[in-house]
Amino acid sequence: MRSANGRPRAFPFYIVCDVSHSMHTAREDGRPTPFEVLSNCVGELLFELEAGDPGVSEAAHVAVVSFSDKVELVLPLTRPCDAIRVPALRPGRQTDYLAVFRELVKIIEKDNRKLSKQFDVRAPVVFFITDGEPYVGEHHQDVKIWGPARDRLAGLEPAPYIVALGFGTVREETLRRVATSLRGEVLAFAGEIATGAATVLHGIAQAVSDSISASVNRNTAVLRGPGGMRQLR
Amino acid sequence: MIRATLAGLLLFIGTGQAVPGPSPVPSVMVSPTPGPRPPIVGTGQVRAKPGPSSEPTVTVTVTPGPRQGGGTGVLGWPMWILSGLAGGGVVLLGQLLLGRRARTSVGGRAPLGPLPQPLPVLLAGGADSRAPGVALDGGMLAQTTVRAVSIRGRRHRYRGEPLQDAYAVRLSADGRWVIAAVADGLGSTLHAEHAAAVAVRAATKLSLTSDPGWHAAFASVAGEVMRATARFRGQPAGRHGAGASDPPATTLTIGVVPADGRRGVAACAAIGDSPALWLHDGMWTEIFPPEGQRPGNVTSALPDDLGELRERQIDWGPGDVLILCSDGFGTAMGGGGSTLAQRLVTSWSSPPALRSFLRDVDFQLSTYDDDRTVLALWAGRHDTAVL
Repeated sequence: MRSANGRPRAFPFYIVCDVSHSMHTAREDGRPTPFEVLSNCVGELLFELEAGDPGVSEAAHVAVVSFSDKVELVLPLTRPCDAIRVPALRPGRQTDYLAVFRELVKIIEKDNRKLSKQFDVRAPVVFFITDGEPYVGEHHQDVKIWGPARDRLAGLEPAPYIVALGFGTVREETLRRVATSLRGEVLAFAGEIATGAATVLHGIAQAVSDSISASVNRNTAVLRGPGGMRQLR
Repeated sequence: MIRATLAGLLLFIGTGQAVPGPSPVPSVMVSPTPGPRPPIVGTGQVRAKPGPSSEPTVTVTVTPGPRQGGGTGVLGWPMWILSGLAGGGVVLLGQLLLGRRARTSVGGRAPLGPLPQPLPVLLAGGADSRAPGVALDGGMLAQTTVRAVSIRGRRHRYRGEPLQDAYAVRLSADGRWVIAAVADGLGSTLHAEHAAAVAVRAATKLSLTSDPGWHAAFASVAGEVMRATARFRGQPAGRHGAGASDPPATTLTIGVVPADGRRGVAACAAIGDSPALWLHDGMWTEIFPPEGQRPGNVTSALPDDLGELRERQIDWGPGDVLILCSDGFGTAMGGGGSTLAQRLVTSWSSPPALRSFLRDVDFQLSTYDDDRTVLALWAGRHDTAVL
């Protein structure tokens, strides 16, 4: 029997945004902070999905999660065609990977239970956007602390794809540890140092939008790399 | 090589010895009701939705009873006034309930799930009865009854792109077999609708007189597709399909059943993911169950990819239904286990009226926005008295 069971398809996408202090520190040149750029991009992304191909707008279910020292479900999983208003991101302080991975497990499990009653649910895709290393209290948060939570997230059924999109001070090995792989390629991308944060974030937003559209139209996970970012091996 | 050898059914390569007559140009015949008469060519109008509502109405008749107690109620009002008020309330309640039902049902049927969003619809550069957005037909071929429908999907309606599915069905040259074919042109290719149309015509002209097997038969069809679409190869992407860039390609599923309507063996073969389902004893069987997803979800397709040919024979007889379909419809069948499939066990136990058949295939369900084509066969002559 086909897995679809004749139900409507649902592709869950989670846009997970780092809103820690480094994202919204005022710049000396007066240009928008990464936080401001990201806030605008998320709104534009949902508008673009809602106004674009109706097939995508109906099949894609998008959630926005922000994290710092706290985790906030900014936009619960919603079809772009049903998204009336996208609440603003709120700036935070530190960068707690453990908290966000733990919370993502709960959110995705709950969403999957709910969606499965009505839809043919495909593997979720998590776009994990961060500009820095995990840091809690006075210390760098070691991978031994957050790694198991990330593994629980990656081990959910259906197994989510985690796309790690990093810029700023985040280390490549951290991005590799966060990301899963698709068809043998690690889904980790690093912003080039010479490329400004605003350019990187616009590239990320475009890649997220393209990935969502392509996944729905081709009926399988298709993940595009952002322009201005390098895919890690 | 496994061969699709039936008792007396042998496939012969080549379309040159086929049934004479049909024009190489796709001819879409639309007849509003099935019947033994020849179909009307081109001039019929097909509506994707049923005409006037068949919503039931409630009529409440209030008949005054014999007067009792001086003919007044507890409030001192005449009984006929109280009865009228009560009756009016019942009518209003009925209308309210029916109104609620109308909002949650589609064409009088319970929805299969979340409904799609309303969309603007664009024609594919115009309308032409030889390349319609909706094609519908039904009637008898020898002792077999046929229903066929093809509907342009919401995605193509929204983008102003043509229907890329095709179907064809005809009697074999010796009149012993009904040959049916459904093709789904790949949306990722240019002018896929031409590849699909050529494939089904070539498939139904296969002559069943020799024994080279299905692989040779599909190779023959692939050659026809290649020749007929040569002019589209190497073309840059134009108006049709902004994302399309590859040469025309199509799936193809073929079914061959005995035309005499008696018990026998039917054969099916397919390249690509256009499903075939068999309804027997109230149970659906998917003839070619999915074999896992290919990388990038790309299906095999003619004319270039003959590597994944699948074939199967089934016992065929009165009471059975064989459907060939594109995946725009087949996915909603869920291999025979979906709500839609269960609903059709009853409504397709015998050939439905054309309008009902169209409505069955034109269900509304969120995210099901691909073209839909269904070609259904029943053993026996069912359309002998159609109004």
